[in-house]
Amino acid sequence: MTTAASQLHPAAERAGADKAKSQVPALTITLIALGLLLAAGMLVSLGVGGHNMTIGQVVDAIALRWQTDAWAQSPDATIVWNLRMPRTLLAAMVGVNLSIAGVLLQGIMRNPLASPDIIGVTAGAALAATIMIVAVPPMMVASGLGLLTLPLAAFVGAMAVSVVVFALSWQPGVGTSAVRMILAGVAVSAMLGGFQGFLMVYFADRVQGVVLWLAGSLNTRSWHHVTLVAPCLLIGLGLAAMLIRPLNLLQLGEAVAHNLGVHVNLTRMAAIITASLLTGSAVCAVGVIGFVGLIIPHIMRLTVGHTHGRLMPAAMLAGAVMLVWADIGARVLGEMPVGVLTAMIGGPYFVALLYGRKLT
Amino acid sequence: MTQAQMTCMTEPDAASPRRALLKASDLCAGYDRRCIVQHVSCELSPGELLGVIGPNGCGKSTLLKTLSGNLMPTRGHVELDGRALSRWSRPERARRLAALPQHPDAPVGMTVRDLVQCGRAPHARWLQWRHHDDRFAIEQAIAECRLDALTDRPLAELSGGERQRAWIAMTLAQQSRVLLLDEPTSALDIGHQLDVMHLLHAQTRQNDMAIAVVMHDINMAIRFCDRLLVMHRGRLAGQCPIANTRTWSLLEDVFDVSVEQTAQAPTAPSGCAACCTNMLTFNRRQNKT
Repeated sequence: MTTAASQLHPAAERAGADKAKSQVPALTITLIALGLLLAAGMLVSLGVGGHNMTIGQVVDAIALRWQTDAWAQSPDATIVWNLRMPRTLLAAMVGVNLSIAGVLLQGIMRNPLASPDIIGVTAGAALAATIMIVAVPPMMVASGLGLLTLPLAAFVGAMAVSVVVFALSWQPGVGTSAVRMILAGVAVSAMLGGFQGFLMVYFADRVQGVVLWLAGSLNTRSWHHVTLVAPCLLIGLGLAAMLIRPLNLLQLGEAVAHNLGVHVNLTRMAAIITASLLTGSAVCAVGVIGFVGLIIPHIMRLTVGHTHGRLMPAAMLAGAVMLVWADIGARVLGEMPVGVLTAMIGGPYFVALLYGRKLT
Repeated sequence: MTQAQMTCMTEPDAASPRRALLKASDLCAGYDRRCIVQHVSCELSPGELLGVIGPNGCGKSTLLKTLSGNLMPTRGHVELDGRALSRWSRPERARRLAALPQHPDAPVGMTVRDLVQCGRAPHARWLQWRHHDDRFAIEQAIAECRLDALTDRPLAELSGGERQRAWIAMTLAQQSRVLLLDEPTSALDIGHQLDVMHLLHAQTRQNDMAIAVVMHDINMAIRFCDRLLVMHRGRLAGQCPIANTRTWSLLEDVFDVSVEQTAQAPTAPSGCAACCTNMLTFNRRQNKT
């Protein structure tokens, strides 16, 4: 054997070892910090709104639930339990859905731009919802009669678009490729966006509900919406957990992943369907909330690293934190659509990250 | 077998007394109906280091991709361990056949150990990352590739040669019998080329692996490989044992060069191929016939 020039670099080696060791505590600290932020956010969210309450009042109101007589009389309890609790839970769940969808899509595409908005899932849900609102006169407003019809339509739209995008990116004999998927997603998004614009101009008299819905709002959401999103969230998280290992291997490239025994196309399909399920259920409950699925995975990757076993729990909590606090902000600013706020905060923050650190 | 021009295919049976681990028969493959590999039949036996050479664009990489299952053959079939390649389940196949594409690329921040660990994926059980054999296989692969001092370093900080060794360590951690490498030495300096070739040669001798390497340096191929597989325009121009003057004329035809044996190199170091150590000099042919 030849003696190679593999000399020891003690200092560099030690630095590398420290880095590796510090990753696990970084994850723990991140998770604990995010968990605390989420708990605090949820408490604040229960107290803030048209009728502000102190933390003590909130806790009392929550406790009233188990005292059958007092519960009906207390306005505090009614507000907390019937209005703010579902809204807060929904904000957290939608945050989880969107950020996990972002992690999955960025993982299979190996592309930092991939997000539910890019691959057309959001556009599909939005268009389906718009069609429902403008084409079926009794359901001109999002609430009212079409409480479940509208979410279901949006959900079907999201899933249909994901299937179309996957089919368009398929090449016989080769399968899918990340670039083809993104191109197909962008093309389909543009097409759907055009059709959406047409509908909104042509049915200008009926689009009032659409505009509000497109901006994404958590206002007036009830337990119905929570029960709609919760099963999708649980199924989606289960599927995402099963995809952790193939996603990790896919980061080494399609060919290497294949050589390591990963079914690349199956992984892609499963990830797309899971992401559509998560995004579709989120969009159908609260409308279009942009940017969460794009920036949360990036920020968490900078904090806890690329391994999906670490990335997913961190992104999950971070997404919930972002949306719960954004919803609080939206309420304080007088019922602004939360989607407007996430985009307005998320955009500059993303730019700052881009210039401050290497974002790849 | 349509190739009558396999001129120097002298003694394939004598050269491989044991059953071939990987066997391709009448293989055609390509992209978008364009046939890049045409009617190639070849074998890879345990304990053998096979060099795949040929001019640029002759289909070496495509052949390797087809042999590793990355590309479906349009005709013919590949047999791994006595069974059609596509009939193995994916993890089963990956436990028997490891392959490395030309320019693999890892995510930022990944350390050498992380990468080598990925090689254990085909051995992992459902929802289980690490197994007690894994640690041993990982340590062994790291030691064999002499990466002990670098295990916790991010791949991005390593030199090209060290990074290539880390990728090879990943494939060794797979503990497969067959290993297919696409130009593992092409971007390396001579010292690191020798490291990699010695490493591969040792694997065939000590662990009885069957390794095929695509390479461009013919002298290097002649020095280390047991057999050469020469490709030309998608077809197999010949498979030859190394020490054979007919090999030289084959190389002359395929690469359109003149070959001249300029030196008898000193005997190869112990453990290296006992075969010939001719040093060849190549010149572009002037008068094309």
